[in-house]
Amino acid sequence: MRPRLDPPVGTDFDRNGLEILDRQECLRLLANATLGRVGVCRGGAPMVLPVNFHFDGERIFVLTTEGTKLDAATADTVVAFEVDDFDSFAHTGWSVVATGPMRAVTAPAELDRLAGLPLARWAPRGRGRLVAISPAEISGRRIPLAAPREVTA
Amino acid sequence: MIESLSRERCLELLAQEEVGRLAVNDWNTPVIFPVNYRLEGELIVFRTDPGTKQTRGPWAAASFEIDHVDPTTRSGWSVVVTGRLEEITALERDALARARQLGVDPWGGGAKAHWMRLTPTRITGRVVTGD
Repeated sequence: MRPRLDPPVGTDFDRNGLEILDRQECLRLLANATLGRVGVCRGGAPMVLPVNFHFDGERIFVLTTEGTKLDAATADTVVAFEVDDFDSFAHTGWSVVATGPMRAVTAPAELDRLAGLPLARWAPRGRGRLVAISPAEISGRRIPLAAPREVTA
Repeated sequence: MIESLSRERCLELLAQEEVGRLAVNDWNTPVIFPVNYRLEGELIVFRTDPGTKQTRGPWAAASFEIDHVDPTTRSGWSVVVTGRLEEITALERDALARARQLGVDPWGGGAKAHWMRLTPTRITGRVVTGD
């Protein structure tokens, strides 16, 4: 295993040596990302799809396209939602996964309020449907920065 | 504008990248893990520690995704693979030797002594260019 820098005091690590991100940090990272991936379970087969999204601090909003696997998910399907960022040079990165039920947004007042969201669809054109994921669980991990390797001449 | 990518182009992109996201079912709940991987032919090979990714198999349904987005031009691409996941065990000496040659170097810690492969049944990709 590579040598690692001393972590900040109070940092928790999982059994794989990854830094466990607290809920506040997970929420901050979710709020700052625009591309995420939804994992949905269909007939026993999982499917992972990229989506543009908006997180308002409570729910994750996604615009689905009719006819896609994601759109076929019925009310209250439990989905996993992931955002991440990796640095190929430093071999570090983080990921946040939220798990919870996904529901279509149908209330007219809410649809009006959300109409201005900059949600591009990541699928061919077609009728769209606004869905919201309510995270029941949120967890995040960060790969600690490795100590600089010794350079030998 | 959105266009589909050919299977050949999807495989080229899969060969270039080194981090993807693997989705497996943990009972009836989907779970997503980022993994460092390498492509061997059409197989997606990665390493893992004992846990969900390893024990869902053998031959568990799984999905794998890579993407890249340029926020300034609002353009990007994604590739989604669906297939079957299994461990490359010591019984497959040649396959395990080939996997070890790939140089899969997990950035996170852990021994990651188990080698896994995803055999694709479907590979799709799309490219999105700014409106």
